Amino acid sequence: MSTASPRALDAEVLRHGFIAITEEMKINLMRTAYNMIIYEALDFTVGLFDRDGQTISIGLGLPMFIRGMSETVKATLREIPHSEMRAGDIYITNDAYITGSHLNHIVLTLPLFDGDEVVGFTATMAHWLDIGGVLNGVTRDIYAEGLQIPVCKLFEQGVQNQLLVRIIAQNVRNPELAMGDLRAQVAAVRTGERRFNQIRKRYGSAAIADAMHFILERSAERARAAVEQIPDGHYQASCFMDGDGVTDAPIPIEVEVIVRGGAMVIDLSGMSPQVQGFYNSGRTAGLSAAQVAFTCLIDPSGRPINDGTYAPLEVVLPDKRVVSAVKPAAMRWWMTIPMTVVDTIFKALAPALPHAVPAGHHADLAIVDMNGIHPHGCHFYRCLGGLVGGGWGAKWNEDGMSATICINDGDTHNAPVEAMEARYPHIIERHALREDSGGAGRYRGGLGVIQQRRVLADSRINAQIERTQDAPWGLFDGGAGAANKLEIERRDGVLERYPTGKVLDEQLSAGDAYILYSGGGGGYGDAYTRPPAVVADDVRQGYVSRAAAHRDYGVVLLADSGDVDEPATAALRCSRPPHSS
Amino acid sequence: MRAGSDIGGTFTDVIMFDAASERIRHAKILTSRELERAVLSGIAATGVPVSDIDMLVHGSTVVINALIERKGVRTALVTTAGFRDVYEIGRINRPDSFNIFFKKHVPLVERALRFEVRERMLPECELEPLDGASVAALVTQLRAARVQAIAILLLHSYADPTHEQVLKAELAAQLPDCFITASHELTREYREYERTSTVVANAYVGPIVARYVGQLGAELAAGQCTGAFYLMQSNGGLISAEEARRNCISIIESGPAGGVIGVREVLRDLGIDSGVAFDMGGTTAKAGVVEHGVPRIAHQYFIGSYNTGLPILTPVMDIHEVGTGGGSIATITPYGELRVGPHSAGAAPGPACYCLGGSAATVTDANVVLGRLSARLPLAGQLTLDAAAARTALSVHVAAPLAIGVETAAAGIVKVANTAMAYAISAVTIERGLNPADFVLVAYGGAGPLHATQIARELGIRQVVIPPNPGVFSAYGMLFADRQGHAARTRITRVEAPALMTLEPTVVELIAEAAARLGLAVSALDAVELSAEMRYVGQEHTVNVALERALITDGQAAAVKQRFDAAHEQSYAHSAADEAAELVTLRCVATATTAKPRFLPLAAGRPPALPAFRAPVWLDGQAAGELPFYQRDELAPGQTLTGPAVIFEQTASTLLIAGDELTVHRNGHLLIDIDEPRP
Repeated sequence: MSTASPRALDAEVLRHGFIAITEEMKINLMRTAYNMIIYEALDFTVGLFDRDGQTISIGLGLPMFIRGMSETVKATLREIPHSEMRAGDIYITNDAYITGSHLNHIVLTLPLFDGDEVVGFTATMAHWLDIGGVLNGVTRDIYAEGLQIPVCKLFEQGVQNQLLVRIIAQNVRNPELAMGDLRAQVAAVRTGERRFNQIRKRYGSAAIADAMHFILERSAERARAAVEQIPDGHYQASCFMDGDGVTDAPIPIEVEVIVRGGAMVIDLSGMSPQVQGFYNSGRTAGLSAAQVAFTCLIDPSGRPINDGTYAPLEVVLPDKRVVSAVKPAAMRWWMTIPMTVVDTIFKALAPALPHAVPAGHHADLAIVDMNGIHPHGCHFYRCLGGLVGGGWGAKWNEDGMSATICINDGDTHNAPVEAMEARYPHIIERHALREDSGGAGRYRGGLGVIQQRRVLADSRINAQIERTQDAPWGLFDGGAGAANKLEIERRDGVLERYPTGKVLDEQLSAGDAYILYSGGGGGYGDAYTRPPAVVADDVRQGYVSRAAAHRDYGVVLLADSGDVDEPATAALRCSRPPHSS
Repeated sequence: MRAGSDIGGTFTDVIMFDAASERIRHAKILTSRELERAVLSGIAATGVPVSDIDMLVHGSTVVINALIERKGVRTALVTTAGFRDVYEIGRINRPDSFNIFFKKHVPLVERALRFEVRERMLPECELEPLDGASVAALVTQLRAARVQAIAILLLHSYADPTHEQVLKAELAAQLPDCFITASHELTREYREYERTSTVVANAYVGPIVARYVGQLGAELAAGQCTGAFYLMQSNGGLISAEEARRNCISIIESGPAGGVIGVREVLRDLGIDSGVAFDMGGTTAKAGVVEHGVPRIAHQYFIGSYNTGLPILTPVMDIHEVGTGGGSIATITPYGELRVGPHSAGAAPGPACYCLGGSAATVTDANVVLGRLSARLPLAGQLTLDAAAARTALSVHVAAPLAIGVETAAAGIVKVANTAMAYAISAVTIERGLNPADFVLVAYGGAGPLHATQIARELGIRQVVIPPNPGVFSAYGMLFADRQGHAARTRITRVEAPALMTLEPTVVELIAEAAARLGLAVSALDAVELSAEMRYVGQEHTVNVALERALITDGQAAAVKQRFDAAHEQSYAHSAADEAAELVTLRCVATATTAKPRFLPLAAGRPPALPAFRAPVWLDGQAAGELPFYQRDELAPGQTLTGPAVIFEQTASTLLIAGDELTVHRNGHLLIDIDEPRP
C-alpha cells in the first residue's frame, strides 16, 4: 500500500487551506481597517494568486471585485518581472485603468517565495474614504478625482518607501484614516504570507502548485460542463442608462452572448462609448461584470472562487467603451453601469436559460448623500441615506425577492431607522414596501422600498440614482417593475420631481423631505396565467392593489370578502387575446 | 437529588446527582415527540423517583423546534404607523452573493396580520402621542383577525417604553385571551428590525411554551415532586418556569449552553484560565470559548442560519457550528474531487457500520476502517459496529472512484474532516482576536475525543482535556448552572464624566430589572456584572467592555476609555487613545448561585490499568501495528500513557497519536499534552 497521499485527498485538504488563508486575511483587514466603508459595507477584497497572477482564492467583499486584484497582479508583473521581485517587497497602485474602478481602491500585492523562487502572491484591494480630488458635483476627468499612484514598491525587501507614504498622506483629506487603512492592508497581505508559508512548510511548494492546478482544472471542467448544457446560439439584449450626469442623453447598453459547445463569448463591443461624466469604468470592470454574470449562472457556490471557472469564457471588449474607458475618463461612480450590464447578460440568455435567469432588478444602490451642520453640537455631518435595497426579478418558479441589495453588492446592510434618528437631525416618516412596484407576471417581481426622510435642519443633498427611465424588465411576457424614482417634498407640500434621479448639490431646508422609491423587479410569464387565488392573496397582503389585480392580472375580486369573483375573472381573462409571443 | 436534562434532536440525556452520596447516574433515551414526556421518561430511566428530585434543571428544544418547523400560533404584529414592513424588509443584505436564487428571511407573520398604530417617539422625546382612535380601530382589526398572540414593536421603545406599556395594557384588557408581548419586555436595545423579529418570535411560541411548561409542572406535581424547576437559558443561566413563559426566546439554544458551562467547571477544577469547548456529535461540530473563567456570550442569534435566518436579540453562548460530524458523508464529485459533508447520515439511517440501513461512507466509517473505533466495542454501549460494512462503503464511494486503497481513502476523509472542524474553532478564536494556541481544548460529544488531539495540532493547541462522561456532557454541565437574569438598555452616551454620571438611574433600573427576572430582591443577588457595548464616535459596530458600577456612576471617564481602548485593541488589533468614544448599550447580568456537584476523585490506590486488548490501527496513512486499547474506568489517578493508544468508555473513545502524553487527573479528567504543535 502506498503511503503517498493521492492528489485528490491532498487537494481537498489544501482547498480548505487556501480558503482559510483568504478568510483570515479578510477578517484581519475588517478588524484592523479604520474606515467604515471597509468594515461595514465590505468594500474590499483579499486574494491568493498563483505565480502568474491567476486567482486561486478570493475572500469577497463585493462580487464586482472578482477581477480587480488579479488584473493588478498581472499589471505588476509587467512592471516588475519575477526576477526583480524580492522577499519583503510589497507593491502598491490605485491606477484606475488597471483596477477598472475609482482611485479610492488601493491595491497591495505581496510576492510569496520558496527560496528565490516566486510561487504566488497575496493581495488586498480596499476602498479608502478619500483620495483627494474635488468634493462635489460631477467630475469630467481622472485628474479631478484625486491622487494617482502608479505600480511601485511600497516596501522594498522589508523597508518602507517613506517618500511615497508622505506623498500619499499629503494628498488625502483624512491622512490618519488613510494611514490606518494602509497599515491594515499591509497586515492583511502579511497575514496571508504567514499562513501560506505555514502550509508551504507542511506540504511543500510542489504539492501546493499541484493542488492549485487541480482546483483550476476541476473548476474549468465543471464550468465547461455547465456551459455545454446551454443551447448553442447567439443571444443579445440591450437597455439604457439615464445619462452621465453632464447631459441627459441615454447611455446605450448592449450585450451579445455566443454559446458554442463548452465555450461562451460575452461580446460587449456594442456598449456605449465612454462618457463625459463620472459613470465610466475600466476594462477590468467590464470583465468583472461578465464574470459575475457567468459565476451566477455557472457555479454560484463553488469555493474557492478561482480563475479556472472562467476558462470557457471569452470576453470581447474593445477599448474606450463605457466599461473599458481609457485615460483620462472620469470614473468616480464606476460601480453603477456594470450592475445593469450583468442584468442585461441575464436578459440576453433568457431564451437559452429560462430556468436559470431572473427578470430585471432595480440595479442601483440608490444612495442619497446628505451633509450639513448638526444642530446639537454644531458639528459637520455626512450621512449616506438611501441604500434601501429594491425589488429583484421573478424567476421561472417563484416570485422575486423584495427589498434586497443590488447584484454587485452582497452582504451589505441598510441602516436601522432608530440608529439614523439617533445620529442625524432627520426623521424617517416611512420605511415601507412600495405597493404595486413588482412587475406583473405568472410570477411577480419583488417590491421596491419607499423611504421618506425629513430634515430638521438645513442640509445639502446629492443623489446619483440611476435607471429611472428604463424600468426593470419582465421576461416571457412578464411586466416591468416600477423604475427607481426620487422626489423632494418641500415644507409647504410642493412636490419636486427629478426625472433622471440626479440631484446634484441641492439644498434641503429644515422641514423639507426626500421621498425615495426604489424599483421593483420584473415579472416572469404572462400575468393572466397567475392563479387568481394567488393574486387575491397578493391583494389581501397589500402587495398588489385591487385596481392592478384587475388591470394587470385580469382578476376581479368580490367587494366584501376579497375572494376571487370566478365568473367575472374568467370573462375578463377571456376578453383579452392570449399573448401573441 | 439534582437532575439535569438535555433534550436533543435524537437523544434525551438525563443526569442525576445525589448530593448526599455524591453519586451520579445517567440515562440516554430516544427523544419522544411530546417533549415533556421525553423528560419524564428520561428521569424514569435513571431509576430515580420524581418525588426525590429537589431541583430539576432542564434544557429544551421546544422553542427552537416551533420556530424552525414554523408551528407557532397565529400571531399579529403591531407597529408604529409607517413601519409595519420593517419586519419584511429586514437588512436587505445578500450573504450568498452569487446566488440569484437566494432566499430572504420569511417573516413569521404575514403582511395581512401586520397592523399599525398612530404614535411616535424619538430617541429623546415623544413626537406624537398614542392616538386613542387609532388604538380603538386596532382592537377591531385584531378581533377580526382572530389571532392567539400579539407582538408589539413601537419605534424607540428601547428608550421610552411608555407607549408600548399603555398599548399592551389596553390590548390585554380588550383581548384577554391573547398572549401579548411588547418588545421592551424582552430587550431594550435599539435596531427596530432585530427587535421586531425578537418580539414576534416570542409571541409566536408564547402559548406553546406556556402549555409545555404547564404540563411538565403538572406531571412533576402529580409525581409528588416539590423541588424547584428551572430552564436553561441560551447564555448558560437558569430561569424559573414563570419567567420562561414570558421570555420564551431566552431558552432558544439551551442545549449547547450546558456543555460550555460544563467546560467552565472543568477548567475551574483544573485551575486552568481559558479553554475552547469543542463538541462533536453525529451531524455537526460546535466550538465555544471560556475566557478567564467566563463563557463568551454573543447578543444576537439567527434562527437557522445567518444567510436566511430571523435574528433574535438575546444573550447566547458565542458558538460556531460546522456541518461536520461522525455521520458526515464523504463523496467524490463527477470531477474527481473529494468532499466531506455537509450532508449527514445522522442517527438514521446512520453510518454504514451501524447496519441500520445506511450505505454512505461517513467519518465514523472511516474511523472504523482505520481501527480507531474498534468493532469489538459496542458504540454507546449498545450498537455493534460492522467493520466490513464500513470498508464496503468507503471502497464503493471513495476508494474505487479515486483508484486508491481503502485505508488511504479513510485517512483522507478524517484529515479533511479535521481541517474543517479546526475552522470552527478558528471562527470563535482567531476571528475574535484570540489566539487558539493560548487555550486548552476541552473535547466532548460522542465523537469529540476521537478527533481532539489531531484538531489541536491544526491550531497549535498544546493541551487537550477529555472530561468524564464526554458523551452526556451537555446534560452534566447543566448541573453546574447558576440562576441568571439579564437586562440591557440602549442609551448612547459620550465617555465624559458628566454624561456618564447621568447613567446612575439607568444602572439602578437595570439591576432591579435583572433581579426581578429571578424573582429576587437586589440584596439577595450573589453577583451583579455590568458591561457596555462601546465604540468610537462615528463607528457603528461595538465592542463589549466589562465595567464596574462605580466607573460609570462616579464618571471615571478616563478609566472607562482605557478599558474600551484595551478591549478594542484585543478585538481589532488597534485602538485610538485620542479619539472620542461612546457607550451605546448597557448590559447587566444578575446571578444567584446554586449548590453544585464536584468532580469526584477516582479511587486512590488502584493499580495502573493495563491494556484491555490490542488491535491494529492506521495512523498518518500507514499501518501503525497493534495499539493498546485501555478501558477508561480502569485508569488509575496519576497514571500516564504515551500515544499512540486508544482509551474507550461507554459513550466515547479517545485517540492518542504519536507525541501525545496522557495523564489521568485525580478527578478523572484525561489531560493530554501535545508535543510538536504546529508553528
